[in-house]
Amino acid sequence: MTSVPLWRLAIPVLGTMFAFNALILGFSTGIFCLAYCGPIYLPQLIAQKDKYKGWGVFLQFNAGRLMAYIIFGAIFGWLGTQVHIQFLKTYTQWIIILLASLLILYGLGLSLPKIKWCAWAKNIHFPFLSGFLLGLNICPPFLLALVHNFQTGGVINGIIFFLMFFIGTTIYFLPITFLGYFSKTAWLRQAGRLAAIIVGLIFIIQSI
Amino acid sequence: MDKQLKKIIKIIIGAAVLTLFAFLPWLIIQRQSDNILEITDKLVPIKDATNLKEAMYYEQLANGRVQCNLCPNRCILEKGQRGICRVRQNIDGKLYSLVYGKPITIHIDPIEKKPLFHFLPGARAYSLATVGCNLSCKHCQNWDISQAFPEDVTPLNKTPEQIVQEALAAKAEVIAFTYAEPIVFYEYMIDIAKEARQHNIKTVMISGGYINQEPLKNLLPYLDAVKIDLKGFTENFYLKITNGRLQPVLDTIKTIGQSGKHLEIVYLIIPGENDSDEEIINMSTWLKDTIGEDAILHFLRFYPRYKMTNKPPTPIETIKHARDLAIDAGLKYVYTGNISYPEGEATYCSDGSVAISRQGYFIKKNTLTDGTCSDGTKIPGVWK
Repeated sequence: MTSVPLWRLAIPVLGTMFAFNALILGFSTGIFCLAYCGPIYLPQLIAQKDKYKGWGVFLQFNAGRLMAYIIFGAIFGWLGTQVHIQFLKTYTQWIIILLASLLILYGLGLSLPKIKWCAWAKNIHFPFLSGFLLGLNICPPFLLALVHNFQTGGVINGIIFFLMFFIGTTIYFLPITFLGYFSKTAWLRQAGRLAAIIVGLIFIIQSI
Repeated sequence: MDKQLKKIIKIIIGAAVLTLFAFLPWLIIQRQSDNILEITDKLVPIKDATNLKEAMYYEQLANGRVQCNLCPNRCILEKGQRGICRVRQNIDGKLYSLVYGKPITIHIDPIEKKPLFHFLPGARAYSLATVGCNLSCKHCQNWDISQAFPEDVTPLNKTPEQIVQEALAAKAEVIAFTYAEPIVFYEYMIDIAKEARQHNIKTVMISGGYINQEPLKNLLPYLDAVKIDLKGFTENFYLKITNGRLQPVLDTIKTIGQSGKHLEIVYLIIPGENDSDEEIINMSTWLKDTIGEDAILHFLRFYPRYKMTNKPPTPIETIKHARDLAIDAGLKYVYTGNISYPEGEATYCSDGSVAISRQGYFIKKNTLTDGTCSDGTKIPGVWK
């Protein structure tokens, strides 16, 4: 057998370390996650007065994402390739419409707290809910992770895979969270709420 | 009132800026996102191996992994993973060829196009390829098929028997496995070669020679000639330009030389990469020492392709100079290609007379009788 340089062997061997692979996948596609979650995440950072200057939103939002990822990891680790990619792409459209509608209500609820049908929306822990729904949203990096996960197989493996993918992608949310410091300015908070409504409308129009 | 209006304007402008800022990364990555979506469709692992051919030369490892031993990449693959070649996949702990019976292109070419100059001059070669390659040369001339996934193309679906019948119908004396990299469709190639032998059709492999010794030795008895692309003569060149290694290719050339099979070598000269006098002389000397002075060598002109469009075409003088260097190193049959240079395309007898003159892919004159010159010089090759 001819000798093989270590770096050549490393490429296929990495496939055995699927958790490490998931982390690398998260690092390499995290900017896409930020791009897809950013329009929902950013207005929230600024719209609501957060005594932790945005970090409360960060924790809630990513806890929601984490929960969605764990559920997804378990389900898809179990189902494997029985899942049809086309079905996932269609169902994503409905998740986005739901999320965008809630975002509009959230913006209205914060701006117009006296209107009953809007007020409830500010009490639903929206950062957590939006993180959860965005976690269920099949964006391109998530789809890539899903396809990789088909190869790992098993509920536990699926959860570990998505947990590592989550860690890799969450890094990208850290710098943008510093924008939460702007939430102490009243007019900027109002602007954040209006932005939430605009973003919601854009997503609904785009999805329809 | 003024103050209130100012505040509203500030809020609206702030919201617009925030919205734009929030969507900015999204707008930037849109195109790449489409690429990711395209890739994911290709990465969904094939689960049904019913219509696939199990690969030769692999071993099963723990936890359903397999190691492909066909080429020096020796890919270790998890279930569902494909090798570097893109066309061999681990499906439930077994390795399968995804391109068996699925050629992507078929043409009838003159054998000189391969180029094989000492093998049945003027013969018609029924030439075929599938997608995939175990190297990824930055200057690949057929990158659209060599670097493609099987899912990228609509194959022709032909059994080895159908290939041979079509070659017979086309009055082709030769079947050539060519264009991309035949090693990656090893099982298909060997079955076609076996079938062709039964019908007295010769087979040739046009390859980068990046194959392990055992599969090579098993393949050679079924082939009649091999052309190897020796892409450079330093490990550094191979690592940098081809994503492979030089030594396995040298081993391949040595083994073919020892087997007695007809062999011709092609060396594509890329300006600034593999064109130094030292490299050309070292390569020519190595060929002479390994194969002998009868080793047949072609220097080809490079044209910018694929990921190497930043280089100019090789100067014609460089090609002619390389030929002179190789002849000075002791090789007797050194040719030039991709340039118009009749002197470099002709085969000569010992007395200096022209045995075969060529123009491009065509024979202008052939004075050989069974490979022998009128002065009695025996020219190495396969002539009938």
